[in-house]
Amino acid sequence: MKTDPQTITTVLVTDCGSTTTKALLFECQKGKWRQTYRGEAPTTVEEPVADVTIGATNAFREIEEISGRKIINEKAGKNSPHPFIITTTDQSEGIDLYLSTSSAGGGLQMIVGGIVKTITTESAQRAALGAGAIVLDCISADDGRDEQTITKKIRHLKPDIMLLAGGVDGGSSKHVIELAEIILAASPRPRFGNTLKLPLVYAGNKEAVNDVKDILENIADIEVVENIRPTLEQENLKPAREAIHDLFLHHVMSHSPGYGKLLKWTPVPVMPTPSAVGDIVETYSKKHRVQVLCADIGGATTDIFSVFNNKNNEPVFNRTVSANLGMSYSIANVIVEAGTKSIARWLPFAIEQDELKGRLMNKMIRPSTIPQTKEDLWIEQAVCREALRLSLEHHRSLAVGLSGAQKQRGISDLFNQSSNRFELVDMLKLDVVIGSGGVLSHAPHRLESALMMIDGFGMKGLTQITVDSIFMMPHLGVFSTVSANGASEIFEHDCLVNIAHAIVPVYPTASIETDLAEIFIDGKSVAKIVKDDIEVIQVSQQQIELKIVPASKTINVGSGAGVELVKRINVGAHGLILDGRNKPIVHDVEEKQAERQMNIYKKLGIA
Amino acid sequence: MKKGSILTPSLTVTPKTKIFRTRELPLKGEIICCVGDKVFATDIVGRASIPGDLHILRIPEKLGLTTEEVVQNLLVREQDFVQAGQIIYKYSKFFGLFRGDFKAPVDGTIELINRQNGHIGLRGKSTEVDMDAYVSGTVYSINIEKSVIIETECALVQGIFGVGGEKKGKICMLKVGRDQTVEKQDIPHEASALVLVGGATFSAEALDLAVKRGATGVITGAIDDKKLTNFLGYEIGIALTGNEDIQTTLILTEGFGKLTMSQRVFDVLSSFDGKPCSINGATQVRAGAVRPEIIVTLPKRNIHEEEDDILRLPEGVLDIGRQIRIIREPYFGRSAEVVEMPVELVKIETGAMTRVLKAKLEGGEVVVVPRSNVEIV
Repeated sequence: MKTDPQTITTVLVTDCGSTTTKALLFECQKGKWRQTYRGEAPTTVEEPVADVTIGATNAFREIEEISGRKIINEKAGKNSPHPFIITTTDQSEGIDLYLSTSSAGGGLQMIVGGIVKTITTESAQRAALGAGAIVLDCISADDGRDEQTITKKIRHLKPDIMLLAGGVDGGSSKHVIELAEIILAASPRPRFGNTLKLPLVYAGNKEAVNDVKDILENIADIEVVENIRPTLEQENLKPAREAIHDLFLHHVMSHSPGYGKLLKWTPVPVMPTPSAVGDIVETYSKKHRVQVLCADIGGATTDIFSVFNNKNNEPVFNRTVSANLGMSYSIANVIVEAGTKSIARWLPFAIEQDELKGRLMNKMIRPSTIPQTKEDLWIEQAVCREALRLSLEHHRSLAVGLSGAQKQRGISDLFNQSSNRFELVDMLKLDVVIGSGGVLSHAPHRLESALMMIDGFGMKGLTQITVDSIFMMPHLGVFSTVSANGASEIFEHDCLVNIAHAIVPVYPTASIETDLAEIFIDGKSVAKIVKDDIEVIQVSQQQIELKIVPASKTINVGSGAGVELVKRINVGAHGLILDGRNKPIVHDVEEKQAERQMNIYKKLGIA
Repeated sequence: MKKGSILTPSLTVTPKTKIFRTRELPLKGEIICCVGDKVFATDIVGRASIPGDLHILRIPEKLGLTTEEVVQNLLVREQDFVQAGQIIYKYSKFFGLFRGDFKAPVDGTIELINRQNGHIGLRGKSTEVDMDAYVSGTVYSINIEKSVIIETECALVQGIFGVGGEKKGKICMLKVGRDQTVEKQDIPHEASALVLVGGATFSAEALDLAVKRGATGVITGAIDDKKLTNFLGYEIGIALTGNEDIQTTLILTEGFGKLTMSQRVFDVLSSFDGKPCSINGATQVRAGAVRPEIIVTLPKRNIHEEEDDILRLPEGVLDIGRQIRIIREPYFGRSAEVVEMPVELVKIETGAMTRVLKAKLEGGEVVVVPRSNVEIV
């Protein structure tokens, strides 16, 4: 297979998900990369098939049927390195390259450990999440649980990989050694391959390496990398992330059903799905120098990816996953975490709390059903808002920067240190939001997706709202490792759907102005944003110069209080959404909520 | 009009089938049966020894001593067996002015002595865990030291959702219509080791009484969320169950709310009234879905006599004339018959374009429903 980006023109990419394997064909036509065909089939990692390549092959066959292009080499024998026809001079058949991502079998599941919850444990969590893992639990010396409780939890969870961090280089080894002892006491066994040792990445105080190895070598395969926090002010996530990727490929995936074969089909390492999504988000942010927030809301989990600038104006990537906030398998958990009232406040009709919970419980046990009535659709969209809100809260707590010099103190003082963190997520500075997952990508009306994200994220200032058309970000993420330009072209042309720009002024609650800001397009006044109101302005031009002038010194439209904002933008399909509802939205008393929501839906034309 | 495609796999409800259940030890152990053995559900087929917890004894920190002081004067060595209360370390300083000791907190074996920090790992005594056959049948195969597969010819009813793990009991059909609520007075006075079956739902009082009277299982059409929360003591948010620490396993055959138990489920279970069964409420709604189950092993002779007559339902394929149940609003819970299967996508009330079918409800009304919102009954 070819991997030189200059010579490849046809690339087949799969994402092997928990339920579905999605195959996409990327082709370079007349110098432009495009996504051309799509096929999908049920993933086959479970018994009785228990071979992921069967589902992948079924997805390839669907592409063959739709495109008329021969991809599979029917004559390939058992000893062939892969089952594909490789393109030669005849460009009408075969492929140049096959790539894949995977989250089958529940994805990569990890436990991380560190000494101080808000320092090394948090860094370890960021490294694991950035590598595409679901973090099952975080253990730290100061997490308030006794050793027996932690031991039982680790043993019960059966992670794929553990990441142990703790201690700055040259500091005391005492606490990280104690953590190693707790892991020894738990002696966790890996999820796959009962006879194998648990893969463990050690990224803590380098002085403790030998002690940790002595304690854990009988129960774990230990990979030692550079310290994740060599000093309090430094965070060094890359070596740990790379080690996790490596262990994922060689210890976790290679023992999953059929993956041994799949890994041989591609010359490029198979990536965990969320890691690939993170890569394309980061690539996009870098290319356009924009601050990005991306949400992928699935059936069981919600992933949030962000790139925001730190205090030195450097872009910082973060990913979090809220493991039990989803739209089917864990939909009822959104109610448990948010409460029925929080969901009901977004509904344009009144409903009994028991009825609401009952409907969602039934969706949970029959996840493949779809809303038939508008009421049912609005309920799912209300759940989505709350899942986004809770997931962003979680993301904010972890997406933090480190700043300022900390005085080096004794290790015992470490437990009191957390002052060098600052939150990176700043909604007023956010340029682009990307929504992904069925409820956002396949909403019957694109403005419904936009409104879910405006409400759920509590968007502020000027933000471009987009959705991933058919969830191809994982495919593009792994493709970007071969051709960053090709992946970017497809991402912007075929993947991102530019819905609209939201303009949401922020103002003091006591503000008396009715008109919050005036909107100018190419120098001409076109509308005013009215307090507590929402409106959509259609724009016929594709590119405009947008000027937003706040009505008073206390109103912030994204450039600071009272400062006008001027920006050249590519106009989305639905133009501009002028949202005068202050954030966070203060909801009416319960009796009036439904009426107010219905008015909003009617104004947007989605009722 | 055309035959439909595969839908959500329908739940299995059959009076006769053959199934295999794998029994796996939590750790390597001993399999105490042979291929071909006839076993009852309660028979022990495997046994494992689960190592006790490893207790890390941090003696230097506890007694305020140095690592060297502790390591040099330990009274035990690695692999020594100690009893709870046995002195494992003793010290005396300044000609006996300061003295003290450290006792083993539990019975166990000294597994490690860390000479770098003076910590001791004391492994508690192991416990024996027995593994039963769960279902009556024949030992089909054995994976030495690890697992056993039991083959059984049985009636199998899968529920849609359950809580609670494996239990055994005798099926007890309650004298309640399948569309009625089971009330307190319907619960038999002696419900110990019974699996109570019936109704569209249980009242909270009836459910409570069934537990108090020792029922090992409750099988009903549906239950609302409030009752489930009261039953468990906490809210369920994720469809991943089976490990609940409860005495009575609860299996719902239809869903949440109040839903008439399907005729087929009712008929199959009624035909085994009084017979022993194995049940499991474990539910996992995602890839590799696990649904709760009720298994009644059939007498061997019946199977042989009627082997060619084993009833197998076609799975998951819709066709005109099929009986279905609608599983989403606005017709949630209604039974119907498929009367038309349009091929083209149809715009539904939400604005989404999707594949639909036309179904005749029990009252004769014909309605349009997305194909993903029905299940075959």
